[in-house]
Amino acid sequence: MSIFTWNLISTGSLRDLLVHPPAVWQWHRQRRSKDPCVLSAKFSATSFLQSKMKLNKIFSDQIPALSEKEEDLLHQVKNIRTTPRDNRFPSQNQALHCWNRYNEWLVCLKQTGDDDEKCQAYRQYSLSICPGNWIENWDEAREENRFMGVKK
Amino acid sequence: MSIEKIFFFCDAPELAQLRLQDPSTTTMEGLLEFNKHLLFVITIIVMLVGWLLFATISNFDEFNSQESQSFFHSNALEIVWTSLPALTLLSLASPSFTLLYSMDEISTPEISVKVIGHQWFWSYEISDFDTMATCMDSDKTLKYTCYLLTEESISEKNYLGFFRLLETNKRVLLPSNTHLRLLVTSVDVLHSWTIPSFGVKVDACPGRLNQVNVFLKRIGMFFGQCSEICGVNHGFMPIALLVVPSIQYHYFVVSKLF
Repeated sequence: MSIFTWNLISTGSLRDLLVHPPAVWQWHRQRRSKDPCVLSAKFSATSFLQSKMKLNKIFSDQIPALSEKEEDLLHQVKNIRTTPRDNRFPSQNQALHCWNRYNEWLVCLKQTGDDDEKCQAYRQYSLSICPGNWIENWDEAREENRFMGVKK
Repeated sequence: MSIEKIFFFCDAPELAQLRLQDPSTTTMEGLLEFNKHLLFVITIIVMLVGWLLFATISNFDEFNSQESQSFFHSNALEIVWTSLPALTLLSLASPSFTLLYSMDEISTPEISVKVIGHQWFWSYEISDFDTMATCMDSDKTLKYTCYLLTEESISEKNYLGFFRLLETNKRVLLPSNTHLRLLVTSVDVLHSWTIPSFGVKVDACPGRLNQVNVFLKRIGMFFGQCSEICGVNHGFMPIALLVVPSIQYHYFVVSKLF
């Protein structure tokens, strides 16, 4: 048995040809279209054509014209990159990476004297990589003076 | 194969399917090829061993041969039956390791998607645009909470073609053809986030942030289900993603946040 025929069999195409001759497909399709619990019932020939026409329309529609401000925003959004990889944290568990980024932001605030503008990049890095509720918990802990990381 | 099967069953499970779902990432394509290679090799091995066993038992039972055989050593035979399995294992190990290391390739992700498992739903956060988005409206965030869409909550006319136990009220939008970084965690118990079509299955452990890199090659709807027992509704917290072309994704972000 060659790998080629195994590929055909394992993808099911040859199996389908052997098991379901065309007359059986027709019977199956009619029978399944009456059964509300079957997935493919929605996709009869007419609805398939309609959805194909809809897809064509989506992809051939004109891209909407944007105002200058929106163009600028789009350009910024395209160029945003998330927190880069840190070679000190190569493994799958990035919890320490997230903790490190958050503390880096705190160190930046400490060094610049609470300047939010200058430390915005660090803040963004920590927001990107840390889950929202971790950030919220740590922000709360800092306000209540029970934060375990970089102190003021 | 009917047209429906080719175009519409790509990324949701089929009834009584025997094969894996169609791949949409490079990882899954590799997994599929490796799976086919592996199945071929083990079929050969099973047929060979079964044949030998059958031949030995049927030809050498007490009614066929009264005396025991008189040969005890054969260096050539021992060399053959040691080296053939070793070579077979080499042929299995080689694609396995290349696939494993290709999954760990270093890539610079464009966006990070945080996937947070709760009992019993998934929530997603994309916070890369938070410092850009100055408006603090509650609906102008890329944080989704996706609950299972039950049959009672959709009208009768939409019931045909409904993916039972797979659809959610909101679908996460992701861009295709860029490197993405998924960070999966949980707030309460262990869950597991999986999309069979991506070849991704990541455990969501509280206190851990598991990272997985994906590169989506196709657009469309992709479904998955929670894969780590997490309580009563473990079977009712599905994952539904909508992958769109990158351009469309950027337009979506601009329209959603600004």
